[in-house]
Amino acid sequence: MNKKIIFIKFILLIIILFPPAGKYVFGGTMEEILQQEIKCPDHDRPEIISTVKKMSDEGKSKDEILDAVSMQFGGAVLINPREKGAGMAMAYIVPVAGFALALILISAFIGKWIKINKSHEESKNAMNVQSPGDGKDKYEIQFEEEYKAYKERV
Amino acid sequence: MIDIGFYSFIVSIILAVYIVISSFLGSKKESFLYIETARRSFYVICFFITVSSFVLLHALVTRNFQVEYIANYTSRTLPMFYTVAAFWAGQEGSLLFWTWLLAIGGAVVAWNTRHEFTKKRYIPYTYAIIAITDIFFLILMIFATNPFKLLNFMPPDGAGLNPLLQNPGMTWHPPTLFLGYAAYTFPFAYAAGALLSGELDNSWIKDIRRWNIFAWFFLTIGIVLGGEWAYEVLGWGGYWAWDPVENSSFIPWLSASALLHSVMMQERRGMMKIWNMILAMITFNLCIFGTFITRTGFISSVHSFGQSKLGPFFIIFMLFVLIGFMILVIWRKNKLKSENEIESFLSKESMFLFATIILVCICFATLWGTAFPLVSELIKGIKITVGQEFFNRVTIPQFLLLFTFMGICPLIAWRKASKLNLQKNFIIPVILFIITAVVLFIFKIYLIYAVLAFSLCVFVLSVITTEFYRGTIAYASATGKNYFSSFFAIIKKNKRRYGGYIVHIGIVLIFFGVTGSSAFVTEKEVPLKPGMSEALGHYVLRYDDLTYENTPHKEIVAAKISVFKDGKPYKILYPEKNFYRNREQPATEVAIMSTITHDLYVILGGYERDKSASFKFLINPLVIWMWIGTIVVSIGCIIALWPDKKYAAA
Repeated sequence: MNKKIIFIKFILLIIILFPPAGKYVFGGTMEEILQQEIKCPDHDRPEIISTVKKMSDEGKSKDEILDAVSMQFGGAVLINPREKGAGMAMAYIVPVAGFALALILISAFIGKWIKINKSHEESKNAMNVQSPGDGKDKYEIQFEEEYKAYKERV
Repeated sequence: MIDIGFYSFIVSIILAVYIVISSFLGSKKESFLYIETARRSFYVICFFITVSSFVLLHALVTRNFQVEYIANYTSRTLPMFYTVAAFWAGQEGSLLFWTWLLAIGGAVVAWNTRHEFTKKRYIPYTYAIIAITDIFFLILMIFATNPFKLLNFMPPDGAGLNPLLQNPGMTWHPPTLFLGYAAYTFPFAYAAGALLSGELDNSWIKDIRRWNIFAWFFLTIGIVLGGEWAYEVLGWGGYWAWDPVENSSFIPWLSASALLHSVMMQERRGMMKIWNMILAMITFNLCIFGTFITRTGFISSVHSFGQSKLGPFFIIFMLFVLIGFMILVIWRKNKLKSENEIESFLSKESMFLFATIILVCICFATLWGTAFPLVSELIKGIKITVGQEFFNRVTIPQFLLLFTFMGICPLIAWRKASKLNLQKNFIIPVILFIITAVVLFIFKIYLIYAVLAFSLCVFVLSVITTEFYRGTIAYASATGKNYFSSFFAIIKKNKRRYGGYIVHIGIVLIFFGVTGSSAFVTEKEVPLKPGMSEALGHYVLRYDDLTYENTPHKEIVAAKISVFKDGKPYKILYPEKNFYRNREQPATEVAIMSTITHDLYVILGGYERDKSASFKFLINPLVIWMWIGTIVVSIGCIIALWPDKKYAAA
């Protein structure tokens, strides 16, 4: 048999056995993409569905279709958006750095407040005590003064 | 008839402008007459917006298709229940609904403050702020998105309601969410009123207490109902996909949670005054942002039902709120100084502060991820969308840390915790935490996040149980009553505190459900012919038949799936595809079998003439605990909101 005819038959056999992915109804590209890759596949967004259908009929691969849908309608329509590139690094860095910075700043602020509070306490104590180191508070001193005055009167 | 609805807007906006002017004038001139007329105007606005709402409802019920909104969202075959729910299905209706809730809330504030506006100087300013928000929404409806817009002709039928919205979850989800959104206007209005008046003691904080809990409660319910709707209707097997619209309700919930806890610091210790002000403003602005995202399609999302011209209005209003409020805060900063300082890292104050900061950080991360397509487009010219992976990676560690603080906060002492306090309070919860982690490892659960999450659930639950236990014992020994009545007595005596703990129990249960259902899902996708079976976990699922049913409203294609457990028939499930009239694409109706440990979730993918069909089977563990947790949260909120006898009598 002519090699050409054999080759054509072989190609035809492949086409019959492995039809384009877009022609599959179950688990095939269109249904699969609508069900598994796109949020709300039944949603009233006919343009998404018609894009997927058209590309699926054209025999485009799943990746090609998803890239096109993502470009056209925004990555948010995909259940697993295509996270690639340096842009994603920026997406991660900002909230993580923000979180770390917030914790550090708050710790520093709390530390500062504790210091201020301590100094307030110390100044209060200093005001309460007439001569530092004698261990008497203002009431004791007042009591002693009044007692002394009483004794003098008596 | 329809004109009445529109003219009611005109009257309302005139009254709202009057409220703003007379409130300011009344405050300046100290004229109670001005303020009293402004106060009473809220009742009139409420009346007119109610009239508008009833006009729209009447048009819906009578299916007046000459009204563009009715023609777009209903049809003759749409069941009456969903016809009424179409009120908030579209942009125009939902904005009217928002305004209606705001008007009712305004009337409630006017009623609650009828004896107070002469004593509290910030009340008239609060009226003005509420009225400004009214004006914003009325401007939207009068100039940009009129729900009463008429068509030049009378269409024979309407386009019908989006099939995805024809679900009980979707009928309750938007109203509860909008109620939460609208109610956050009032804490903001009080905060701004206090800033304008300069009366910055704790009085406004006490006034917003109930609004805060009320709004948080409805926001929570709204978010969970949205998740439940997604779980039952969208048919991808999950309840939360970090979609921009889902995030837009979750973001204000996070800042609202921060506010809810942070105000306690001001009430107890006179601290964090600026922080509370800012949180009140951020939460309100984020509620507006949520409405903005849902209704304008600003950030590309499948849920953005309307791509409309509302964007500039929203942006201007949000900027006005942000800038105006920050100017006020700076103006009053001297009066907003803290009355006390934090005395120690190991104190309730600093733990509260950390917890609220973490909530705000999660809020920011979610906002950042949601808005990232816009940011990347602005900076790099390419719209980069981040997915679930991003949100999970960024927020899960923060949530775990937040949960740790949630466990620590109730038991740690105010001002300064001693070593003894820490030992006494935390020894048992920490031991239980470690035991849980070890047991999970023994049962071969090696996912570190899941182990930490489950162990933290036990930790927080044990802390709350300790609080209830100690309270009950103390009350019983002080009064001589039995433990049972003492338990209820402590809740009755301190509703806010113990209501709050019950809310925390609910949150733990939700967290438990979320962890189980995200970390341990089992799924299978299979094409089957009638009579064929597939095993999944402990179940065998046999595909029996495919049936077709025609109703006036839709065509139903249902697959009969017999579920066997341990070789015995257990249940029959019917996953469906519904083809609604006037709609090209089918809607998936999943079949769910819920048990206390897991959900068996069946999706009918596609089918052929010979009845062969493709299915997706999932076992989602612990999902039911999310719904149970929500009920517990609701109970806790109701307890916390329940008025005291003294309060009710007053």
